[in-house]
Amino acid sequence: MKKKRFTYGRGITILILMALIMVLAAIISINTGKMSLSVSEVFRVLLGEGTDKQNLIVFEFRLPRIILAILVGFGMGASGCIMQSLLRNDMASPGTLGISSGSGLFVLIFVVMFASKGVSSAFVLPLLAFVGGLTAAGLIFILSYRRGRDISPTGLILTGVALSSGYSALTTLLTLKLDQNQMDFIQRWGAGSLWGDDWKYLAVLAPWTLILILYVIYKSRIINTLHLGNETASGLGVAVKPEFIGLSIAAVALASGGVALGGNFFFVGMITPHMARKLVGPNHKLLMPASCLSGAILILVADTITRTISLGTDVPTGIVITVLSTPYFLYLLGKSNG
Amino acid sequence: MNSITTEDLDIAYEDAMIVKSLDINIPKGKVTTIIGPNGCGKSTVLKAVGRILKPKNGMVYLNGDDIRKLPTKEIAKKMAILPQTPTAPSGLTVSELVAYGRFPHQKGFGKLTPEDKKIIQWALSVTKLTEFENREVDTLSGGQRQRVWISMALAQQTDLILLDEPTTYLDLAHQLEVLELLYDLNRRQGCTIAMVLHDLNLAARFSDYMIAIRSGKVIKHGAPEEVMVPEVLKEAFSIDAQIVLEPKTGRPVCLTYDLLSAEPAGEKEV
Repeated sequence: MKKKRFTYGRGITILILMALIMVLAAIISINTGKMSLSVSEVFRVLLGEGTDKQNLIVFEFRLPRIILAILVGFGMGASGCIMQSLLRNDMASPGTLGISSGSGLFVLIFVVMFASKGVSSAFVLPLLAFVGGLTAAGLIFILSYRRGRDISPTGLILTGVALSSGYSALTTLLTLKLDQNQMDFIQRWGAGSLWGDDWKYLAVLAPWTLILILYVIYKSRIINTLHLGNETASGLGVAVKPEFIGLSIAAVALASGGVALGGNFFFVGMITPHMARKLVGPNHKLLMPASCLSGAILILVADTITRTISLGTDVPTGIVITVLSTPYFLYLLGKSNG
Repeated sequence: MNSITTEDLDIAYEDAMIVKSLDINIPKGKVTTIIGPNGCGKSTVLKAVGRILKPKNGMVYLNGDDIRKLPTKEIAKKMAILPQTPTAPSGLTVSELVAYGRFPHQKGFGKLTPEDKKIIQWALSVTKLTEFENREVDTLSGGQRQRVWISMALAQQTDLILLDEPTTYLDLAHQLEVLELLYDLNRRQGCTIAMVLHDLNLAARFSDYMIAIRSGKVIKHGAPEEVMVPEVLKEAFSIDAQIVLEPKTGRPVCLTYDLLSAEPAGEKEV
């Protein structure tokens, strides 16, 4: 196989193509559902000329879901990309490090304690997920920290995996206290249900995700140097400790927004950086946006497929992604060993 | 004139003191090599000098300035550091990696200026990498890769380059190639080079100044003829060395050696 070179111009072209694919996927996704709308009908609705029924379908049901899918994809893609580059390990992701499970546990505690009492949760949920994710990240850090030594990425990931199973145990314990409705919610949430498709949630998630993404794209030059190793980065004049901490918090925040409102998209954070790296190479100025876009495309496509096949009951999107991604992941593993 | 001076430097990992009240100089415009047994603290000293490791006590001066008072980016314009066996992300090309050396000179989003590009081309040509500039770093041989990292350090345009065992994992020919490149940089570009080396003969051949360390203490420093003597090597490595002068360069070489005791010198590797 001939090796292609990753030039800047080529990278920009690929980013534009990916953005177009994302928009195309979004349009197809708006058309898809129990009540199908033609492309021209969708455009008429978006221009404000639709019937009440069409307006309801597009603006209240499909559009919020599509925007949620894109935001969750952005967050997971960026978060996974930061974690893999900071730790220089291809297995790092919000899922493998146990950050998602930490966020999930806090969301669950909230559901158990308050959800039935009708607390407005648009702000509370992402924030709780963030606190949960940050707690998980802090725990991993403390447990794998050895004074005076560099933190080993493998150690971090193993600690993350161990903590993850701990959270799962706690989660199971807590679910015993749930009624049937809450139980359903938690199960579907855990499988990635994109449940928060409501404008009031999106109004919080959109600025949260977009501001953080701007921050990490702005920091892409720093991530490039950290990707060479902490000592090399220090030598180049990067203040490693504050940058590392700032970017880790951003990665946790990006993942937890998506986890709170979308569910646990375990594979997206791990796989999208790989896909992006294959397309645009290791320069984070291109890699970070490419990671975001592939995350969004992946979730959008999976969600559209989910709604098309319509297996009688609603299938959580995350399951489709797992089914789609597993072969790709096995392929990656096989390639890296060969 | 000294590029680096340390004063009463204490360096510790947890409670284990690695280096205690160390005073060393790295003379400007010279090639300096630190030698010593495994675990003697030579890499640790280099890391402390390169502000990668925070010393417990004591001072490091860079061109006479307290290194703690300088912003890290300013230090990076004066001193480049090459860690032991750095790894490049897969897919990164030679010229991209060398371009990262411009980091301390860049602002904002870091678009390369024409001047940056000129310096990168210069760094590539000095290290004889121009023909490889579009190759991916991880497809190169060990010796070529080491040259890419040195090229990155050159693009940083510093007076001082610190290298931690730049010849690790290289065969005889490539070790020589790397050291000749460094020697050339010193003689032609006037870079001050300070490095840690294991091979005593190569150290004596290419250095102007050597520092022998054992258990975090300086045993002897000075010209290779003063440091590469049986008494110093006995104290540093616990070996009985046969030193002769190499006829071609006039530098001392260790012809052969025997252990003085059953256990070689050195503590646990850090």
